[in-house]
Amino acid sequence: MAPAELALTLAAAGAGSVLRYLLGGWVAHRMGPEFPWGTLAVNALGCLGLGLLQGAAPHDRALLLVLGSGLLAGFTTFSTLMLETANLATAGERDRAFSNIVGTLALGLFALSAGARAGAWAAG
Amino acid sequence: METERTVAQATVRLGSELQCERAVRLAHRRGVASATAYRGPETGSARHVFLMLLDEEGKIEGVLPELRELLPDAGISVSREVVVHEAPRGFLEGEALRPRPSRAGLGHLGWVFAGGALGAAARLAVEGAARRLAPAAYEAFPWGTLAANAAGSFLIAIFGTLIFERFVGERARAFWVLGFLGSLTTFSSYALHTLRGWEASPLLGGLYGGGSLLLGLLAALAGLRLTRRLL
Repeated sequence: MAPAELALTLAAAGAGSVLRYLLGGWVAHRMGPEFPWGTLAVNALGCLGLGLLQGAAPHDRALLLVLGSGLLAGFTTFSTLMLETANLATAGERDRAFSNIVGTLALGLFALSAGARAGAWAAG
Repeated sequence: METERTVAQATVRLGSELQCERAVRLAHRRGVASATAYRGPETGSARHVFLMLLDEEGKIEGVLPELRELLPDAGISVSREVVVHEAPRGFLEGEALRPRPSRAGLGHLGWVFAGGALGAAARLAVEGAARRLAPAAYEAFPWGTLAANAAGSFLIAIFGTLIFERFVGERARAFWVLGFLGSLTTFSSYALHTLRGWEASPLLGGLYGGGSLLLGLLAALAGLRLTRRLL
C-alpha cells in the first residue's frame, strides 16, 4: 500500500465518521429514542454505497481501498449497532433488539446486492 | 463529603409551552440547580406542561414570588425534604450531571474526523496482521474484520455508555467513541464479506455472518456488565 493511498484512505475514513455523526445524529433526533433509527439508516446507506462501488468498479483496487475500506467502512459502524442492540435487550425490549439486528442485516444485504446490480448496470 | 440540607421541589403547572419557556428562563437566570419540563396527560381539551424546579430551600423561596408575578395563572406546589447525602460536591450547582446534547453538536467535528482516521488505521493494521498470519485462509474467512468488530463492540459498551459519560468530556467522547470506535468497526465490510462468503460456501458465509453478530453481541453484553459492576 503506497503512503499516499494510505493517507487518502485514513482521511476518507475520518470524513466517513463525520458523515456518520451528522447523518446518524440527525436521523436519531428526528425519529426519537425508541428505536436506533440513526445507526440503521447509516449502515443501510453505507451498504448501498459499497454495493454500487463493487458493481461499478470491481477491479479498481485503489478506489475500493479508499472508498470501500476508508469512506464507507468509516461511515458504517458495527460497534454502535451491537451496543444499541445490547441496550435494548438488557432493557427488556427483546423484540426491538431482535428487529434491530435482523432488520439491519437484511436491509444491509439487500442494499448491498441491489447496489451491486445497479452499479454494474450503470458501468455498462 | 456528607452534607445535610433542605431541598425544595416546586412543581409548576403551566398552560402552554411558551409559559414554560418563560419560567425556565427565569429559573436559569436565577441559577436554580435543576429545571425539568415534562408534558402532563391530556385531560379533556387542556394539555398542561409541568415544570419541576429543584434546589436548596432558600433558592426556591427566592424565585417563587417572581414566578407568581410572571405567571399569575400557574398552579404551584412546593414540597421540602431534608436530605443527607454523600453526593459529589457541587451536585446542586449542576456539576455532577452533564446531560448529553439532544442534537449533534458541530463543535467537535474535527475530533470525530481525527478519531475516525485513527480507528481506520487500527482496523487496517488488524486486518493486515490477520492476513499475514494465514494468507490462504483469510480470503475465505476474513477474521481480521471480525476481530476488530468484536473488540470495538466490547470497548464501546464500556466507553460509550451513559454511565461513563460522567468521566469523559465531549471532546474525548467525540474522538474515542464516535470517531475511533465507530471507524474501527465496520458494518459495510462485514456485510460484503458475509455475502461473498455465502456465494462461495453457505456454511462459511453463515458462520462468518452469524459468528460476527454473536461475538459482537456477547462482547457488548460483557462490556455493559463490566461497566455496571465497576462504576
